[in-house]
Amino acid sequence: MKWAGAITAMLALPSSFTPLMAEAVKVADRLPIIWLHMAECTGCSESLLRSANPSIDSLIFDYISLEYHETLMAAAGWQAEENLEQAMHKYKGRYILMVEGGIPTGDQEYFLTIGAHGHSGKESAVKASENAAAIFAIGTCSAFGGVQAAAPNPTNAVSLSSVTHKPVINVPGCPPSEKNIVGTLLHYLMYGTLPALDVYNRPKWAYRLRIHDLCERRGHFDAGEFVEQFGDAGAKDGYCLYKVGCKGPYTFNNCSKQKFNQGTSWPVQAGHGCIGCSEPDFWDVMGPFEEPLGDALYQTVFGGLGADATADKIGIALLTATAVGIAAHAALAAVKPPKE
Amino acid sequence: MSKRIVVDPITRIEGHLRAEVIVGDDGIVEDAFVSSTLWRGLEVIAKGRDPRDVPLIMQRICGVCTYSHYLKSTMAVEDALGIKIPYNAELVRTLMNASLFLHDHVIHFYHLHGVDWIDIVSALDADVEKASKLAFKYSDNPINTGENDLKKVKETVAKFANGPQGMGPFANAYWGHETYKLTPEQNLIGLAHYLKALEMQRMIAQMMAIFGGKNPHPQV
Ligand code: SF4
Repeated sequence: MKWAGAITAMLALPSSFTPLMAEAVKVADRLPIIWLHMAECTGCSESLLRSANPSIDSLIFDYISLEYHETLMAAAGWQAEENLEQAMHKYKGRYILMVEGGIPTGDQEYFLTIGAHGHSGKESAVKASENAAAIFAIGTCSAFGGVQAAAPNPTNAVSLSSVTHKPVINVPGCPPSEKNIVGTLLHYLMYGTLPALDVYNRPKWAYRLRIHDLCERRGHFDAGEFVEQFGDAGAKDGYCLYKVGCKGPYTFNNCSKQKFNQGTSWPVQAGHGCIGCSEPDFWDVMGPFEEPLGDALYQTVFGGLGADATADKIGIALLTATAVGIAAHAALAAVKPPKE
Repeated sequence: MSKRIVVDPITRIEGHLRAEVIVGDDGIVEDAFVSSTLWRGLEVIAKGRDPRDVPLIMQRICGVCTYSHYLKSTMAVEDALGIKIPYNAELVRTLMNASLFLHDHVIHFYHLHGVDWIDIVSALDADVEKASKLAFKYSDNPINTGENDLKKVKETVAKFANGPQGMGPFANAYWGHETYKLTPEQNLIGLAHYLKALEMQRMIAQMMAIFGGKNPHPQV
């Protein structure tokens, strides 16, 4: 099991845990997984398919039993529904529930229905939550409502944790990297308990640090060397992207260390700033994405409110202060919900 | 009397889809309806935003054909504002679109559409030697269909199919139905490709990550 070492390192466990990890996966004997799709784009499912350590085929055929996953399963219609019912019955209290997508509620609950009888997405998510051994909200939509919950949230979309009373582990990102999805699963496999979490119920092993903390452009930030405009000389020299909108200082995730697609690259490496996709309400509070928060030219959905409210705290003057991330994070959390 | 048949969820697609078919006594389809059972309102959400943010939102229409909606929404904004893009931008967009094109075809052909015509259970009856030879009929350089490869594929799936936990994502399908037209050997070749394609798509996606930072949802 070549991948066990890589995963152990990613979960920030000592290398002596490697054989344990390999053992845990074998012993688990195809852990039953139910994966539901709510209001989503299937990007999280696609991200899961990119898993290399372990590879997605060994995951599906050897380590887990993917009982229900609408993007991959052969059955459709009533056979698919029957598979879901049977899995919930057969593995009662033992299956892992993974949910992708926000959940329309209130008068808009039926803006998502699933199955011949037209049950709402909310009904099926709540039902599947009841007897799950652990629940993971995969992606920012499921963790925090996501893109459909952006102002004016036309479908009253909410997070999974708002519709169930059961504990939910949030694995946000748009989409989260394959490593964060599979890592969360393997962490559970190994310990059989929920991981240490931050204030937004994100596993600390993945979301403990800011993007900014380990960013490869950080040296340029500290030296005050910024890309002023996409395509300028600074951009060619790999300068810091803060002034063209990077939200790395306010965003907690491991992208700068783990990257995406087997470590191929990540947005900042490709020359675009982070947009804060693993933070709650980032579509509303982090925009406009290509400007620093303190500097909005256009009226945003806030009518400029978000930018103004944070401008004092995230001025360019503060750029070299290491406290910038903390202050900004606190300021963002205090921003009022957007008005239309 | 005619019958109403409802298929919901339609699986192996992006999103939520329902099909209703009215079939007469003679087995002839009299009428059919298809509806998408999710509405998110991204067009409503886009209103009043900074135009540079809108393509990023629109990219979230689909994570399977990721980048398509991003590209077209960017072009719409440029069109509205009369922006002409530099040659380098055209090049990188074309490269990213090409990597999506390659990736999406593999996923669509094998993992989304494939099991509609590859009978996984029938593949277990295949003669490995015959199948391996047959693969040369379709390609001069067949992939993952050497005798040993096919033996391994068969073992993987046999273990899976005969195990106590059943077939997971392949459970309760129409295996053995007369509309599956391929021979066991052809099915085994298809299955070997299905597995190999899971590995290939992961590599192809790296191509988009090189140009766009990550995949799915490049750039951000
Ligand atoms: S602001 Fe963005 S690009 Fe600059 S160092 Fe921080 S994370 Fe990196």
